[in-house]
Amino acid sequence: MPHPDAELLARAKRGEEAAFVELYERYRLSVHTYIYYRTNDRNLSEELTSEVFTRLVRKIQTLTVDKSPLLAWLYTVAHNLIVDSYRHSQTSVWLPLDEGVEAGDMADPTVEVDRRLRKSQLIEALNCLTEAQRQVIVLKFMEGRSNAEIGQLLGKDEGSVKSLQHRGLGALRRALAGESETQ
Amino acid sequence: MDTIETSLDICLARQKAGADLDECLKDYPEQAAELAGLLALAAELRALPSIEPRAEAVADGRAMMLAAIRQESFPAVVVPSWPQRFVERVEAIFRLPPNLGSQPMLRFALGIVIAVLLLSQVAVAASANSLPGDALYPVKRSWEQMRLTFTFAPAQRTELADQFTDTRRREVAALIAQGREATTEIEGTLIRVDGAWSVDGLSIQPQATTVIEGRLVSGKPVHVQIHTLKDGRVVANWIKPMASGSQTGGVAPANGDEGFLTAEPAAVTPAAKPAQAIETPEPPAAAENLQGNPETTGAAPAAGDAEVGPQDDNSGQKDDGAQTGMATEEPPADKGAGEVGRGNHGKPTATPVAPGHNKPNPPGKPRSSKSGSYTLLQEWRSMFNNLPTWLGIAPAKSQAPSRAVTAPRTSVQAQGSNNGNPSVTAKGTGNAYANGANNGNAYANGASNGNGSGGGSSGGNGNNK
Repeated sequence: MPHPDAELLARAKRGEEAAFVELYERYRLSVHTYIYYRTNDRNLSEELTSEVFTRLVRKIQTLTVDKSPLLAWLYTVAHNLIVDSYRHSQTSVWLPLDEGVEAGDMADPTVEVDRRLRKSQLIEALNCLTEAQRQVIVLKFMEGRSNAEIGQLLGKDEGSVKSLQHRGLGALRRALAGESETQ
Repeated sequence: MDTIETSLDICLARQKAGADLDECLKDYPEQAAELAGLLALAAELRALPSIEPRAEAVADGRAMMLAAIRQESFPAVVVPSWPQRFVERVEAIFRLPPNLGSQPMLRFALGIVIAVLLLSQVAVAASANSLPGDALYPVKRSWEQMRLTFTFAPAQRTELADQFTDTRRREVAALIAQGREATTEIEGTLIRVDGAWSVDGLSIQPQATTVIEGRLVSGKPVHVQIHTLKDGRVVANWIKPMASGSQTGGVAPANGDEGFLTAEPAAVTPAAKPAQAIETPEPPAAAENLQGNPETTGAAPAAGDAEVGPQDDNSGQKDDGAQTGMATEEPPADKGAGEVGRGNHGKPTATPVAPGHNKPNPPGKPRSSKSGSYTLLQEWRSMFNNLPTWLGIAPAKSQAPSRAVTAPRTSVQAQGSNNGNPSVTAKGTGNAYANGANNGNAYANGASNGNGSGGGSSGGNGNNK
């Protein structure tokens, strides 16, 4: 059974803009979510998401879905862009306030601060996971995808997804508890 | 018991569906502690707000992507090149079953076959304009022969043969125009006018060494092996009537100007047709006697140290061999031709007793005139013999008629007045050509002396009857 992206990739390799647009619409949210939960920066996430798809255009001729699913490749590009971004800024993880939350929306400022702090801790802990664990955690709990979908998107079987899910949650728990584990 | 991964996954599914967390943990009491922490963390992750990019950011991202598309160069249409298409087609034709196709040796063998076929076609195409003496000329002739072989319709076959005959003429014309020396064969109608020979308009010059097989009649088709010289002359190596049956052994026309008899078959192929030679002893009275004209004498080459009977001018004496005039003739040194007798007015009788040595075997001449493949085989052999020359690893060797170059000096010594026992001693290994037109009685019995080779001596018995 051909991969669902195969036909789109073939058209994109011929330079069809419609194919690129369809790929963009199919994967932009996943890429953005992945980047956001690693950077906790909405602006940076949007900027890097655009850059990911620009690189897709430049590298389209080298891609084959037989070797690696397109989303996995997009995640890899996003990861590299995030690393480069941090390297160039020479800063630690920047945890800005959520721009979408207005001050007037806060029912209880104390509770809201605790929520944001916990969120920042979770995002920081996500960076302690391996790339595969992180991808599964984001797809499973932030995007709400099933094991079957995750397996297809990342090119893994469901057993591997379950295992990565268990190990990812365990590593995240230990990270939040002050432990450091990257494997 | 389920593994922790499975238990966690089941509980996560129930949690997502809204089930009570405690109910899930009751099903996995031994894993409840670990599962509780993981499920709580999962609930926190699920509770994180969904962050979608802003609409303007989405539009900007799309615009950036489209701009990048316009800057990139994409292949308009990916069309495989013709070699790729050819290979794919061949692969489709020769596609093997999965169990066979995986055998590397079989694939290798198929590849070799395909490569040979391709190279053959390339060689045939490249040989289209080759001339005699060229490396690819045998390929051209072989291809022509193959086309003839596999053309079964008589009309088409005749047309094809005519086409190839024209090709031969054009080749000869090209050789003459280029001043090249080469040997080839042509077919055509032999015309003799005022002593000049021509085959389909091509003037050819018979030599003393020219082998004439059978009886030639002007106006009849002949098969000639010719050799073009640098000065534009064309000499005949051998000539024979076409296998129509009417020329060989027949009687030449009464008009000596029209027809001419050059050689008795027996004199040419004494081993093959001795009886015939004896049975047709009388030449036609009106036939042009070619006395004194070595160029038109039929020649019976005696290969090796052939013994040739005396070709002296015995004037047809039928006595006991008391030949008074012994024909002692040195062959032309430059041609190495053998003995040529002439002007014998007696009954020609040639009784070869050394058939193995008296067969005409001029270089380049097929032993069997009916074997076209033999000629091709010779050409192939010649090509391979000359391979070192073409490759530049051996000195170039002229392909001029080897007869003119290699024919040894044959010494024919008539033993003076031998009282009817003229002895002809042929020394060396060259060809001694007995004149088939001699009218005397001559016996070649060199082999009977057990000296068929290596300078054997034979006595030409004067008791020619």
